[in-house]
Amino acid sequence: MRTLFYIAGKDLLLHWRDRLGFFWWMLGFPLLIAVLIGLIFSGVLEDPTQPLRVALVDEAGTPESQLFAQILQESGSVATRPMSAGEARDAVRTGGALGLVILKKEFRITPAVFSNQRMPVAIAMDPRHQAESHYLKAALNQAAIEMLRRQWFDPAQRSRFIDALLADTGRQGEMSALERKAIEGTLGVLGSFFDAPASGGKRSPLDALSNVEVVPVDAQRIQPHSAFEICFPIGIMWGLIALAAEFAQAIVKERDAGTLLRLRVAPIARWQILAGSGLACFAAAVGVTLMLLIFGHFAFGVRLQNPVGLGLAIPAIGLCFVGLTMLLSVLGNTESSVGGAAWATLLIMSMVGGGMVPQIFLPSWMDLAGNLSPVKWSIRALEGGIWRDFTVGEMAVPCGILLGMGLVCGLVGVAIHQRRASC
Amino acid sequence: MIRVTHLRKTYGSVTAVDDLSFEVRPNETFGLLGPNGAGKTTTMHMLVGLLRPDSGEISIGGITDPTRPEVRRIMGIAPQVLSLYDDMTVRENLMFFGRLYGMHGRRLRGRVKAVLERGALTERAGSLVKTLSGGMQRRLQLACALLHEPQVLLLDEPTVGIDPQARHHILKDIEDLKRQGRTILLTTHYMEEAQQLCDRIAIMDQGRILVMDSLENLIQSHAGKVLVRAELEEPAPAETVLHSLACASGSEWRADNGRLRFETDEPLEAIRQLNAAGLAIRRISIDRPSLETVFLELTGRSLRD
Ligand SMILES: Nc1ncnc2c1ncn2[C@@H]1O[C@H](COP(=O)(O)OP(=O)(O)OP(=O)(O)O)[C@@H](O)[C@H]1O
Ligand SMILES: [Mg+2]
Repeated sequence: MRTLFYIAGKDLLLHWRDRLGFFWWMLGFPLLIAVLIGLIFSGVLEDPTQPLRVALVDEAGTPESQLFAQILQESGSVATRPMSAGEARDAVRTGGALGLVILKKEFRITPAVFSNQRMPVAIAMDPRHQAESHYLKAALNQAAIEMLRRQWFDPAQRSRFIDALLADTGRQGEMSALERKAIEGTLGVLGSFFDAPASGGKRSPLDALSNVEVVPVDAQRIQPHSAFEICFPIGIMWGLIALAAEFAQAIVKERDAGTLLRLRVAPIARWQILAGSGLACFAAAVGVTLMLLIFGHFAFGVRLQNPVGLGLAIPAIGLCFVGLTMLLSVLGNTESSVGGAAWATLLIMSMVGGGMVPQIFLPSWMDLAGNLSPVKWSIRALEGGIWRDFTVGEMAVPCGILLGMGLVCGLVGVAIHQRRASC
Repeated sequence: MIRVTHLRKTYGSVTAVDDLSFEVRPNETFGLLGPNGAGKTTTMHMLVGLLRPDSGEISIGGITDPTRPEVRRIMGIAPQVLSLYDDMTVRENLMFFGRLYGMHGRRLRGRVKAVLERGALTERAGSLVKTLSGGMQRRLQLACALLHEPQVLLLDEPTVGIDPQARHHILKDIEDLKRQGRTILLTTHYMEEAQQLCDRIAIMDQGRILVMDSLENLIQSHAGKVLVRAELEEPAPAETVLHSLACASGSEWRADNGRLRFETDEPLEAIRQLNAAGLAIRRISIDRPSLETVFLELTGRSLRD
């Protein structure tokens, strides 16, 4: 047993001496990744309670378009800023606004915009915020409905509302004055039914229909508090990826440098040699993970509020990467070929596993492929300990998968090592 | 101490060791000589259990499995290729390898100190191996093999690629070990070394042993005659000179400056004959045949690799 510690100690010493490999690739670079991605996504994952920032270009400049702009602003869904077309484009390009809304010259809202006509509105989005375009469209539709509602319910505007309705359907001349009065009356009655506040302070029936109450789902606990809580697990993955590549190379280097020969003629069992290296790899993996987490905690407020979960996740991740390292170390015959193959494999695993771009931004097929990647399950396990607040039972899933993957990779790697050595 | 019988090892289509049999007796220094690719390293690696023979038997101190820990504890190998951790210091290397042999505490420190002194490395004990000269690295390579005081030492070209001073140091070291009664198996490409150190020598080529004997016997039976070169005081007629040398062969006489060159089994007798014929000798050199002659005689002069 002592022998294992001697071998592991020697491996750790050698990695410690390799300043570039240890301090930069395993600690510095991952930290940089975590902080940079964290800063980038801090912008994207803006507080969802904040309205969408858009530039508004009013080309029509009519009372009607001004009313629409006002309704849009009052809705609280978007924060509009009036600008000229050129200014608006610049604002989107430079990130000052996430999109722009143009109220076209012929701007007019009638019921027909929901049937055979397009809304006389155009939008453009920052390419990185395409997803929000649906949200913006919904906000515009909502404003259009509100505008129609006001025209209908306001007796002073009701006449214009009916004119517009008839014009849209091409039936202006077909209605007698009497018919028209009757329709206006009916609409008025309906309007006062829907619009008038009901007795006893209750809200109108229309309000009750349109305003669905939104309740928080334990929002305090199951959301990351900041982008850093998402990005530190990613940074840790980069550290572990570098670590697996470095340790896999070290195993090959041991052979190339002839020192493996000395180990193999010493009175120790052959399994102890690989087990010692595995132990060193495990210790380094746990060390790197802890160092990055602790740094994230104190410098960027990453919560470590589920110590039990982390206590399960970190060793499981470490063991998985030990197995991975063993397998990577047989991917080539020289130090550089193993290094290249290890990095290539790990980068693909990282990409599909959400180690480059947070998982929520991955297309669904990639997310599916990610199930084969230890990176995905490692991130899941770390998140379970950081902000997802996994119970032990929930933690068992990613940890079990990690241990299984580590075991399979490790067994295959060790078997190939033993076969090569026994000639 | 070491007995090898009908050992065979092939790498694919290359037969590295072919039906090899030899024995190294206790306290003996045995030299394994041979051109590049003769199979010396392969043989050593089979002896320490790094390679598994295709057939044949190895017995070390009566045990036929060289991978057994009790065998490994009495064996020390200084491999042909440097096998040291470049990024660790001299002392760290020694401490680490010592621990693998179960040493620790005062015994380990004492042994490390002893081998450092023996290898004249004490002053560089704290230096990283990669900063050492080639000679120091070779000395450390030997020191690592000696740490656990093995009874049997396998030295695979222990003096390759180093300067005469460092070589001299290592040779002194090996002689010292020899005096201590270690059993040593040595391979080298330097014939003087084998001549100086080995009690018995085997010359192998293409995986087979060609001859195996003591140095004297090898030279006697394979090296041919002694080469004598002499310069006479005064010019003499060629016939007189050649006639007087009854015991020599291949004589060559140049009248201009009285130079003489011949081969003989009995150089002293030849000198006596020259004197008897009244030919005074001004200068003489006698080249005894060396192991190198034997080696080239047996393995040929063409390149191997
Ligand atoms: N791993 C290997 N794979 C294939 N062939 C090998 C291998 N190791 C050695 N050989 C071949 O086996 C033969 C014997 O090699 P070996 O290294 O034992 O020779 P050697 O006597 O030690 O030579 P040198 O004096 O150059 O060290 C050579 O022909 C060599 O090419
Ligand atoms: Mg060799």
